[in-house]
Amino acid sequence: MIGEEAGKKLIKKAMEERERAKKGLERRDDFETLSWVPVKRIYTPEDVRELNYDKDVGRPGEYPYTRGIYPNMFRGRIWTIRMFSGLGGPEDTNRRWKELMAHGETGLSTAFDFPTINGIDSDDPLALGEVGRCGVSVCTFEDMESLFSGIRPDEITVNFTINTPAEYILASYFALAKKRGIPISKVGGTTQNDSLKDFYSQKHYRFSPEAHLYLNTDLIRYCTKNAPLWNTISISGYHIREAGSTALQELAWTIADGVEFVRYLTERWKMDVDSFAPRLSFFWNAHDNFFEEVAKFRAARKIWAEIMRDWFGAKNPRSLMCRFHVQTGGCTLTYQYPETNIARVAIQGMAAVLGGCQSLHTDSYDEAICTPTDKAADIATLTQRILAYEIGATDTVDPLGGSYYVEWLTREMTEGAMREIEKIEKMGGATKAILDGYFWREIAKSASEYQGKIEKNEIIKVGVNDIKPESMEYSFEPLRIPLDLEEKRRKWLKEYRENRDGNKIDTILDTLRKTAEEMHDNKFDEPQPMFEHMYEAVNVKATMGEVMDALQDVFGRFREPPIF
Amino acid sequence: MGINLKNLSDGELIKRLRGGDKPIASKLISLAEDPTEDHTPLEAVYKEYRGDAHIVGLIGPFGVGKSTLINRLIGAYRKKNYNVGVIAIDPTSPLSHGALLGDRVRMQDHTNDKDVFIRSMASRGGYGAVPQGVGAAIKIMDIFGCDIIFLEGVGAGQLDISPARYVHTVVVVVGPMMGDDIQMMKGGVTEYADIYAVNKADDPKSETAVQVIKEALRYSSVKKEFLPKIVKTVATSGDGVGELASSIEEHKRFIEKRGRYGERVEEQLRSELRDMIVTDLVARMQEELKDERIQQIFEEVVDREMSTYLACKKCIGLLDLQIGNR
Amino acid sequence: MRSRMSLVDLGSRPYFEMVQMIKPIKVLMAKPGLDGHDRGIKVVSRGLTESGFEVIYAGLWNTPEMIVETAIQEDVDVIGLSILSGAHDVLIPAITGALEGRGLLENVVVLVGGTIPLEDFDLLKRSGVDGIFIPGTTISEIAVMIKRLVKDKIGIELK
Repeated sequence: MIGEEAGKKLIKKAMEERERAKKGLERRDDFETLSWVPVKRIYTPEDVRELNYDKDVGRPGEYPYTRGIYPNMFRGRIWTIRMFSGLGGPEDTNRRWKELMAHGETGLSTAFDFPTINGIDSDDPLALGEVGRCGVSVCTFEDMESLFSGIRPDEITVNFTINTPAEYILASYFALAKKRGIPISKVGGTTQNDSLKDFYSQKHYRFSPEAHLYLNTDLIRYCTKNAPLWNTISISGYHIREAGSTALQELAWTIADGVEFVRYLTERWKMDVDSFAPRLSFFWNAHDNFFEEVAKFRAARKIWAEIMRDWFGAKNPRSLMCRFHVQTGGCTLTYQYPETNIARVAIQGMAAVLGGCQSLHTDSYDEAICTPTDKAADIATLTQRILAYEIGATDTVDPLGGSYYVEWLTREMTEGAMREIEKIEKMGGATKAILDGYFWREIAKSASEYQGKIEKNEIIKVGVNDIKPESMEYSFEPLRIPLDLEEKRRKWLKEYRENRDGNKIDTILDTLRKTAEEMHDNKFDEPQPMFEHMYEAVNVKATMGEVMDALQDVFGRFREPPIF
Repeated sequence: MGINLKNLSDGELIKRLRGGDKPIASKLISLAEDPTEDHTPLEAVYKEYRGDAHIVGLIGPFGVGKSTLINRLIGAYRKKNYNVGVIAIDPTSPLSHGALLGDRVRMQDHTNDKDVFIRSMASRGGYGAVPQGVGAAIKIMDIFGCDIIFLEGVGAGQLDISPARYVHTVVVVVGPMMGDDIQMMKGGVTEYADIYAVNKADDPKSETAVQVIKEALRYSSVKKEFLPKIVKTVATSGDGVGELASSIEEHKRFIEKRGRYGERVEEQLRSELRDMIVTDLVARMQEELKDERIQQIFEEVVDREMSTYLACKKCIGLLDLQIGNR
Repeated sequence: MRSRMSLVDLGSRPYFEMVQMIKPIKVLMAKPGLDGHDRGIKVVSRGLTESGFEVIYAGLWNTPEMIVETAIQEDVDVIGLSILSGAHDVLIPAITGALEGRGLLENVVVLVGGTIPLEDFDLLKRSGVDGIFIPGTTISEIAVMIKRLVKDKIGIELK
């Protein structure tokens, strides 16, 4: 705990602050947000004098949606409490989900293990040690069935945090619904399905950006026609922020990715923007600087509405709405004094609520050390219920609207982000910027800068550079998955492979390869449907890894140039 | 790592090399790179060397896609069942003497292929130098069984053509033409290039690159017998790689027909020896320059007591080497 | 240790540059498994280069076999593994086991960096790891440790 030495330092620091204040000095020489925007001592009507309420801010539920996408927001309905979870085998996760629902979760969100996320089977050499560890292991249709045992796809919405093999996973889910007599037009949920951000954050991609863009948008195309309740994509900034970007970069780059998707769908798939735009959604990070995060969410809505209306000519109001899920920032949690993370998460969750999110995941306090324990995840879920019902934050829409600081900061974020988005447009769009290495370089810079400021104590993290614990003890058992899970999965897959029609598998894999080749040959200029073939693959019991490997035979594995 | 080469007889060494013993091959290459060690085990290598492998050098500016292209070429040649070797050269920092060898990562998926041998090499000299061990590495890989060996040259703003002396076929890789690339074209590369690969050909600016090359060839005073081929490639997708491989084969056949293949091997050996002697002489000279009497002369120049011309005569006189009168 | 010159051609004019010819320590930096967080490994790779090491960067998505193969082909003195996915308890022993199987473990220094819980340090050391770094270790600390371990374990010393 806090020892004597540390205690003395605290007193010394407090004395220093007091001395400075007596002299009329401030605690620090400069104050800034986490996008390095300088913050003044006080904001007054002067700072927002040019802001026109109707034009620049607007009422909730009206263009440009700065204050919220619905007129009544949480007065009408609380956001969805959607806790990201998944571990071990499908049965283990199924059990866990039922527990979370009993604790008040209102929507499901699937965490997949690394092999699944990368589109490889549990028995692939690269899957060694990773099966079921950071999420649930799913390779086949039968796995999907176990995962959703006793859960009806038309009674709850589910988010699949999956990108590379999203088409296979969704096809399995839809096939499951169909098998249970539920038409997919009644099935609601989300697939993350955003491979662009993977290139400069999580690195769970396999093929080139062009190939992934094709696969992502193919899913959007299919669902637009056949599954109108499905949120086809969760254009993500969360991971970009976790990789080390600033708040402004998170905002701008995510929207730039969104622009790329919309453009692909309208120009190459030749779809009408209003047909698919209402089902696009976003995924943001809720990080440390409370007011900056709120401003960021408000700015996001404003920018997206403007871009969709002015750049793409969308007419349906629902096409202009930036609907989003938020997760509190995993990278903000500390290893030291882990219980303090409960406080952090509550405040970050509050920023998401005051920022008008549609669904929220709050991190567990032990997440910096291990996959969250059930107890910690429960506290995180209950935290959301406190935010929803106990503190009055949901009694009025956009309560921080009108604050001179928040409106000023919203405008700063909006203008700053638009400049960055236009810069990326000039480079030729997000894909081109990825291949030029722009994001890799900029993230490396931002991450270094952040690290530098932490080392100079310009950014404070309590427990890390402000009051360090004397010993690194923690009072809970880190979660361990059973080590025989991988062996079990391997055995199961082996049997699975032996009990199917090999010819049918070869045929469908060939079809997939041929479709991929056509795409490859005409440089993805005239994309052809791929999703429909996934049903066939699922039907004949091809595994996810086999499907992805077939695509890799044509697309090749993309390895990025090392930019240090 | 591990093996002691000195404990192996020449015959044993060659046998293991020919048998595909990668650890031995790798250790031999390290020995060739290390100027401080006793190089006796290399005698067997040089005696055994016949020069069968086709050596292809890829040179070009930084970031143009050489490694990605080689990754694709490895795939193309493996499909034809060729054994492939790659030597990827990166510059050593003259300040820290460290080096970041990051070319391999683009080819990493070929690592488990037992018929592919990839070796990174730091130049261990100033920018643009060819590493000391390249000559030996080529021979080691040749005996090991590589049918084709790719040499990836140091890329810098200025094109460095030193690798050109070690290879049969020179492939110059450029990107959509901008600044540096155009400078390079004017820098005399037309004398060396057998094939031009215009990478990132999906960029419309690459057509400019093709034109610039054609211009440079047209006005070049050096007329080569093999009319250089210009191939457009997109390394990230694999477009044009087949064509590039064909051009490489075409060049190989061309020089084979004219009996140049073996000649090139002999030229390489001569270059290698010459370089080694000169480098060694200069290195020794550097040591000699530390001599007190010579340092004294340096001081006299600094104190403006003597011109560098006179000082030089005096130093040479003092040096323990026989380089003749000036 | 000898001094040597190296020859750089600029056209046909030879240009000499003096270089200290110390045989540098070769370090393989690789990420095993599927973990995609590469910020740390890149920062350390860059830092070690600036400290005078030759760093071979093998990037992401390496199986234990690929790491051992790369170490052999590049004849490295040190293998640096970065892993933040929690899979270290399976992957690291698989790598050291493969090295041992090829008779290489005693001639190469194995280092691991990442989010390794303190309880697992013992397991890793027993499987043959020579040093473990948690987030917050500085480059100079790593460089010093590498030099010491290379000297103690393999017997190579640099000035």
